[in-house]
Amino acid sequence: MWNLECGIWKFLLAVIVLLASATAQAEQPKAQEYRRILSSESFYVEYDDNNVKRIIAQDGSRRMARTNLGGTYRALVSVLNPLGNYLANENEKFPEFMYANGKYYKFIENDFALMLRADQLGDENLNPSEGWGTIYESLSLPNELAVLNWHDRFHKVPDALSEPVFVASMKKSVGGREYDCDRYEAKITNAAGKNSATIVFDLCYANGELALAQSALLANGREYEINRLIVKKILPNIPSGGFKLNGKEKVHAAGTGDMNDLLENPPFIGRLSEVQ
Amino acid sequence: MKKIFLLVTALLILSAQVEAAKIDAYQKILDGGQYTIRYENFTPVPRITNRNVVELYGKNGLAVGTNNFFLNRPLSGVIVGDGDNRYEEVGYKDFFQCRLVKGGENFIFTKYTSKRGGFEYFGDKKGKVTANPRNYLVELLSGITFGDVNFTEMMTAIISDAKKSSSQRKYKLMASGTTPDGLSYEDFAIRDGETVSAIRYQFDGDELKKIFFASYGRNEFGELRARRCLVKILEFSATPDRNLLSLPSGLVDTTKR
Repeated sequence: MWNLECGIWKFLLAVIVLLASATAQAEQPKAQEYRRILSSESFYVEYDDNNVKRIIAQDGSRRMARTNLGGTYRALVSVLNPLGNYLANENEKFPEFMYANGKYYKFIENDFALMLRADQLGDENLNPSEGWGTIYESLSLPNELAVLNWHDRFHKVPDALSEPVFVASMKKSVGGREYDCDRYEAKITNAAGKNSATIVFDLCYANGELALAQSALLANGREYEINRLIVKKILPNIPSGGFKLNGKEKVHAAGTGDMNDLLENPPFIGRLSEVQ
Repeated sequence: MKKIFLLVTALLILSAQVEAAKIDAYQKILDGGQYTIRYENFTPVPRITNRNVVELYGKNGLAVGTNNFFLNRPLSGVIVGDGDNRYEEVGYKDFFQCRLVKGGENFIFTKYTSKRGGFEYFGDKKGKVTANPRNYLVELLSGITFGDVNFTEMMTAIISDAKKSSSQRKYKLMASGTTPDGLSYEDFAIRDGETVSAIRYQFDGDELKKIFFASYGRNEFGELRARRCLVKILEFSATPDRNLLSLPSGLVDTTKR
């Protein structure tokens, strides 16, 4: 009898230990939903990267991105004059960068964009001031959020960095606030195939929603913080206050070192609805 | 007969190793992290655009990302390594981009000729510079840089695997020999998808004198893409020039620590 009771207790203990370890090892319930949203054909992500507001959205075949709606000047306006900022932002619903059907767009104004075919992107004669060289970074999810969709088409990482894998869940206090965090690890390898460092990504949830995304480098026996994002919104659709294009925007060709480029007179190609 | 064959094979292997050993001496210097390298890029650039300035894309070098370079001027560079401290300088006769890495800090500034003679420096402001935290992440992912993008390629091709990132290309020794004018060379190459890259290290005796780099291939759209770079080595020594490993006298450190 004693033996049987002892067996039951042992069994129950084993179940409790298993359950406890399973809880510690499982991702937050919403992680899978975020993963589904970010890999779908429609999403809207808004976050703060060191006080700079960024928006990335996917709308069918279109990828759109914008940094700091209205620019630095408008951000200043927002502090000094909330009404001015409100009015300014109301008029600026166009993305800063866009990709659609093999073409990249850079909006200079809400009705004026420069266009570059994807096969022209590596051209060394592109106008340096147009900033095409960083368009992938502008359109890509940041590394900290790309943990949930590492193979996003605009997310380019060096071969030395492996895909992050989930390691554990933990409670973490950041800025005096308690979060439920999922930790992911990505390895950096040297050319001899040895692990030279590790990047840890902490996706932290408050009330079940993703609120903070942090990354840190573990190297030389130390931890160096890489970045910390404050996640504002991850939605399956672009909200009503999000990007809006009416198709009438004038599209001009990007500068490729030809005479039009030198004269700063980009040739008109057509309206956005015709070009796309 | 068999003995002669074995002897010839052994001699061939031996000679190949002896030839390859010339670059090994330079690999040891780079792996050791203590060096001073001065070079001059004398590549004639073919003019394919109306622009005098072109944009260099996402290649590994001091010009990381989107710095603009003049097509019509030769580049020169200085790289000093002393363990955790490094200095890189790339530029034209009268304008240089500089980076000084001291421990965990990174100082980025430009150096240009003053109207009064000598050099002036510009960090955040004229004569002032503030340190940024050193970017260990980029060093681990993309490797350390050696001046401009092409010279970085030439140097990382000879660094040992354990000292570079797996994102960097692993060149293989393909041939070695002597030119008609008596200079010896060692050729390294790599095929990366549709692109072939080759580097020739040319020596006068055991001393590295010139490096030639060429790369060509078709991109994903079937268009031919090629580039080349010819470099003259002015100095390659295992003694770091420590004068360059502190901020120059015309530049004040304004970092709040």
